[in-house]
Amino acid sequence: MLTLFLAFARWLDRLTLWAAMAATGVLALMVLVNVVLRYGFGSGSIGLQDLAAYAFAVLVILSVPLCHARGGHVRVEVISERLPAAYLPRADALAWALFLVPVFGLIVWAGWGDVVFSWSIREGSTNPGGLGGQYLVKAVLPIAAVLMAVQGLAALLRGNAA
Amino acid sequence: MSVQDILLIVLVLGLFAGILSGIPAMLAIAGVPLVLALVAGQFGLFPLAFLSNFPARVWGVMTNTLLMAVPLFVLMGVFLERAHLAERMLRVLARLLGGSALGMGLAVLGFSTIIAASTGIIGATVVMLVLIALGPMLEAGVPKRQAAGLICASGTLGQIIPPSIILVLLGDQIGNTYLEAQQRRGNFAPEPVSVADLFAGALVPGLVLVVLYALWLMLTLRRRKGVARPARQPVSATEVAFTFAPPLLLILAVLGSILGGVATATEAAGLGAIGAGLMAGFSLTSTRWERILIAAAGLAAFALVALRLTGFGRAGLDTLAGGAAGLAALLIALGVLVALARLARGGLLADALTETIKVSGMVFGIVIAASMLSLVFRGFGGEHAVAEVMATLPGGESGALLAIMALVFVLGFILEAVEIIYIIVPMLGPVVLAGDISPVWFAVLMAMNLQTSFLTPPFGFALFYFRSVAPREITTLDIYRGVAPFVAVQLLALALVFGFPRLATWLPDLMFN
Repeated sequence: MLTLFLAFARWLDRLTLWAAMAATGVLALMVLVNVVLRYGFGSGSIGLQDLAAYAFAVLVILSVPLCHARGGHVRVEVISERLPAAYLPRADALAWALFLVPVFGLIVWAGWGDVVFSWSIREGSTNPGGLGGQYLVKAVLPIAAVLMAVQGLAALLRGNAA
Repeated sequence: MSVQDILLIVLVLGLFAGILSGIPAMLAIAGVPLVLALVAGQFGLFPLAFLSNFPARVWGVMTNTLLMAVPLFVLMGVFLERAHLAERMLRVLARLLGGSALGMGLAVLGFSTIIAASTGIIGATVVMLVLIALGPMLEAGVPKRQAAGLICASGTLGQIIPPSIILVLLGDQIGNTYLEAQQRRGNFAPEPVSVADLFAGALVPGLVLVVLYALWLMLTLRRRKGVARPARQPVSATEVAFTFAPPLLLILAVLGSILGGVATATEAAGLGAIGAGLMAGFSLTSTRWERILIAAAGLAAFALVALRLTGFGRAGLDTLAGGAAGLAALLIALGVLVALARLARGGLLADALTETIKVSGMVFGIVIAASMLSLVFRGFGGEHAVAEVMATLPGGESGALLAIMALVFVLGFILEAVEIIYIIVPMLGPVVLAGDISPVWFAVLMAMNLQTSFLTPPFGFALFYFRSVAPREITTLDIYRGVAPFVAVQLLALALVFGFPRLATWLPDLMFN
């Protein structure tokens, strides 16, 4: 059961990483394309600018669980490094239950209505003449929140298993 | 003292306890306020409806186009680092100037100034300098204390020398806070503060700092006794040109296009990331036609900017300028494709993207968490409490400014810059920014202050990074002693900018007004 969950978490992480890499690539390339259009031809495309903005939004929110799965979030270890080795895993477990799940749960719980509404009207970009499909980007927010909870739990369990 | 005041004090104390507990700081910064708000809400002491704004705040971060420059600047720095482009520059510099102790010291300082403009990540720069430059510096006869001090000090330059990620984040926070504070005071048309303003504002103070470092080295750096003068290794002019010209051109183009008002910070960062990717691809391939294509793409990008600057921007494809632009676009597309294929095959692309995502996650995690903190802080009426406390300080605005600077300096011992910016500016910034103080000057002071605090023993971040890779012969006390004069130089520079605000405001005024 445990190994199954950890394998699932790892698979999810890889999927998330692919999506975030694609978003980063699209962001850089779209900025380039927009610059070339503007500098070279004095024109621009609102659709392509929206695409860059969508890619950035996806990157921002997916980068948070990805960073967490890699232990990349900053910790202040001035005190904890002097405490026994058993301390930090316990503190992390407490932080998962007390802080991580409520904070990211709030994103899902309080943000759900907005996402559902956005889907129901198939919300597009707020820019006139912009790209459709913003509702898809909005849906990434609760997905990332759930991913954060899953990766946080997986990191705890992996630490215990090791 | 009202219940609200007590709750605010509990919030601040809880926040610090949470951060110091060693859990990821972002969880403490978001979690402690949320839990406190939920508990207080049960007793009717917190308007729980406030909390339902949190998802909208997070969405606001995701759609904040100003922050787009952050991952792109990170990607640019990661490409330069992973492709060993920075390392190669430093090695050539060391051979070029390695004959004398002072030459070597100045070489490291000069290199750090250049690289500071590209990465701006303290840890990466300090670690790289220790691994590559410490050995040659000691061999050239630089005393170990001075070598340690110089490396730590040089590593923090990336905070202040633009384009720096810290300045982008400060621009975001100070820009918003300034606008709100001014409007609340009744000034409905304040001059907006842009990231470009901060870049321009930080450039002169950053260079002043470098010059002060250099003067200090010239005054005090003497060859250690009993060290033979190492033989100079010849370096050909072409090698120097090929190693330095591309990264220097890239950085100048990025900085120049922002300061010249041609490009936004995001556009410049995007071009910088793609340009650094081209260079990384170039250094990976040895096939002649691939190199030519990649180099052509880089030149074509410059040509495009030149076309724009000379006013040929709005040409159709049938005109000469339009044709040139079309050709340039084609070359850029081909070169980028070739470079990407190379990077992908070498495994460097996935590696660089993963690292960029990780660093971005670190930054955005804090940004998102801090939006929860500021939400709860406002819900508890924190802004009024801060304004009241600040009003009791002597000296009015400058008194408040000094108090904030002192607080930031102390906080810099335990928190990273991103956390400090996103906690302090929205909480304490309005008091200072509602007045007539220049927001650019305030931002530059904040950046320099943070930088100094990262260098100050015993808790400075740069010192930790140095310690983590430095050999044991250099004791921790050596590092502290070596760094002390540089901290003094930093404080001198900070005092200069404090005393002469024109140092920070002159260039932005000149450029943008």
